[in-house]
Amino acid sequence: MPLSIATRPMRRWALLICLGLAAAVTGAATPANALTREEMLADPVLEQRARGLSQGLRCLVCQNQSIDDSDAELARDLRTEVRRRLTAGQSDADILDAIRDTYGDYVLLNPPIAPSTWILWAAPAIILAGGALLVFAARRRDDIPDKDSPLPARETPARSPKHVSLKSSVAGRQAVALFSLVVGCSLLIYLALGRADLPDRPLAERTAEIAALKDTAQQDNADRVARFDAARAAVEAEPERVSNWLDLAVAAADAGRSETEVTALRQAMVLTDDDPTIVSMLAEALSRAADGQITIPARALVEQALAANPAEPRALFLYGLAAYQDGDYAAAIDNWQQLQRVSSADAPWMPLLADNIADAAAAGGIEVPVSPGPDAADIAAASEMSTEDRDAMIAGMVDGLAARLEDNPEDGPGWQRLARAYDVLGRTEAAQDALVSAADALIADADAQLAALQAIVAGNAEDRLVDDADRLLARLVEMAPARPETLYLRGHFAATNGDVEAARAFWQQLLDRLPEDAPIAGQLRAAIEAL
Amino acid sequence: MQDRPSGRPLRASFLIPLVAFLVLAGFATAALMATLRGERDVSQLPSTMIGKAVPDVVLPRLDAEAGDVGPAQFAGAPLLVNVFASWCAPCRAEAPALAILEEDIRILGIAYKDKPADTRAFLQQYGNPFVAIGVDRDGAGGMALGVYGVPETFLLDADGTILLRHAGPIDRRVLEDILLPRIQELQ
Repeated sequence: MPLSIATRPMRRWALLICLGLAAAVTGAATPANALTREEMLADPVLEQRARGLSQGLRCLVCQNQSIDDSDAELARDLRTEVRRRLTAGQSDADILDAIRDTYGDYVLLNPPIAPSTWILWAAPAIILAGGALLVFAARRRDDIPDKDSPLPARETPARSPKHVSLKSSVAGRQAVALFSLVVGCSLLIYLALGRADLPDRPLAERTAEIAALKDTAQQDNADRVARFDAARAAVEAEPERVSNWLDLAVAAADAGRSETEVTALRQAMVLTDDDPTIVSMLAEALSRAADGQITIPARALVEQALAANPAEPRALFLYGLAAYQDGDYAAAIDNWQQLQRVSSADAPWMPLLADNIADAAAAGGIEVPVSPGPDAADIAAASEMSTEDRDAMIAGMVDGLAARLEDNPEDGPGWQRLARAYDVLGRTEAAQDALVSAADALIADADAQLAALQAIVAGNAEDRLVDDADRLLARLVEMAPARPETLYLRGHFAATNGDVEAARAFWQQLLDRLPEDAPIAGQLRAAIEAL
Repeated sequence: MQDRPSGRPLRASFLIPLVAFLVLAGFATAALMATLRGERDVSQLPSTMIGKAVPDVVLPRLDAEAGDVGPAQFAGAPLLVNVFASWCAPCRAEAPALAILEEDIRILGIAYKDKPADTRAFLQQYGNPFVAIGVDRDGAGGMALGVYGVPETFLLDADGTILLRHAGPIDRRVLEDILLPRIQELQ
């Protein structure tokens, strides 16, 4: 009994502490704000009211910050709107009402007391009161057996009433202690970590380790700034050098100064007369400044770069990305595959590219379309397959490309890829035909004519493709009459046609231009002899 | 003997928190299931504009010579107001949806904080489903409508009352389950 009485004040004390702590959880929010100097009003009284209003308005984009606190564009607009209305002489209540009319109760950080929020506001009090009731009820029950039901001695003959009283009051005390502990710990944690008005905690304050990291970062930053300043000085000294502007662009990108980067690249673009590589670098810089989005001006630049050089890797990548962002996943894959084909197999962007293609395929729900020609990665993959699978894969790719080229015979590089693919498959005649088609598509490209003619000669297909060979040779002679290859081929085809004199004349001409010790000179002499 | 006095009340004091917990858990589960089924979208903020008359927004037209434009000019028939920008990626994604809606309802475009030249290029690239486009260079028109991010779409009836507001791109679900049924209802 005495024990039980003695604990009562202690329980009350514990409860009072809890209630007091709950009441202490208030405080004006004084966080770092996002307000900029230009936004501020000249009149300090109005500005003070504007700050007060802003702190009570929610930024709807970053939803747990006030507009005073948020850097979001909408928050800035709302701050401006608050100040505009203040300057127009509206009262605080008018302004809050007007904003609430368009954005709803949700824009107020403190929910208004209304029927729909009664439960919200009452909840803490109800829960606390409920908890207190439970505790008191538990304590009461502890006391009841002590006072009203003296223990039947026969059941616990060994224990005195005092013992029981001690035991039950221990149970009650445990309940109170547990309740206080839970509430107290919650409050302590909340006060220490969760309060809305806690100031920001810069990284450096947390641990020395992070402070050290920060020092390194600052050093890096200083280095970057120094490089940037050096690059700018170089540009000022020699503004006509393109490489200076490119260095400045790189340094600016590194230092996070995207505007300078864009300006520098524009300058480089002007100096190089719209070099497609630099045009695509500018497009990339613009996109990076727009959080990776291919904006309309960036897209125009990409198109300009591709018009000048359809194989410009950066432009191809960005063009694919633009298509990806448009949701045109097939076009994105197409562009990126084209980039795969023009890149060497060990280009640093190849793994990223493969990932991107897989992403686009997944997003568009498309199977990665048949690659229009086997690139290095395909061949590497194919070499790990069984022979059967490999043949099927290659045949599939080749048929896809062939069908596409039938529809679009103007695609010279496509025909050349097809020829290489046929070559891989050992379909020599088909390869020769494809090269002839490539030469016909690339009518002004001497190398294309030459490649087709060499394939015809190497495959002994002079008779089968006699008309084609004539046509291609005529073009080659017109475009590159003095090339050693031209001379050799003219001699070769003259010989095939039985015109020994002409053949000898061409080869002799070629022989005269070759150094004495050239390895093929001997072969050529032997050929002339054989005529 | 201790079973009687302390055993029974103990059970009751267990039960109260248990019931309270189960009620809360029930609400949370219902909300979670609704979110998973797509009936509840946590990114959609409640809008106070629904059921109200559309604010009197008047903006210069993209085609500057043609004067000003605002939703009020289209009273007499339902109207869709689409707030968009060339710099907004989801606006590209909803271009096909707007092209479908164009068949059923007139769409007034509001180019939110966008350069007119960029807006024109955007329309060139993704099609122009709009009967008219207002240029909201500083975002004041969007603020009057309670816009908090582009794209946002408002459905107005013939009297200019806002029936529906959708924040975010119009995807297939929004188009087929929400917008098209409401538009057909109006006609």
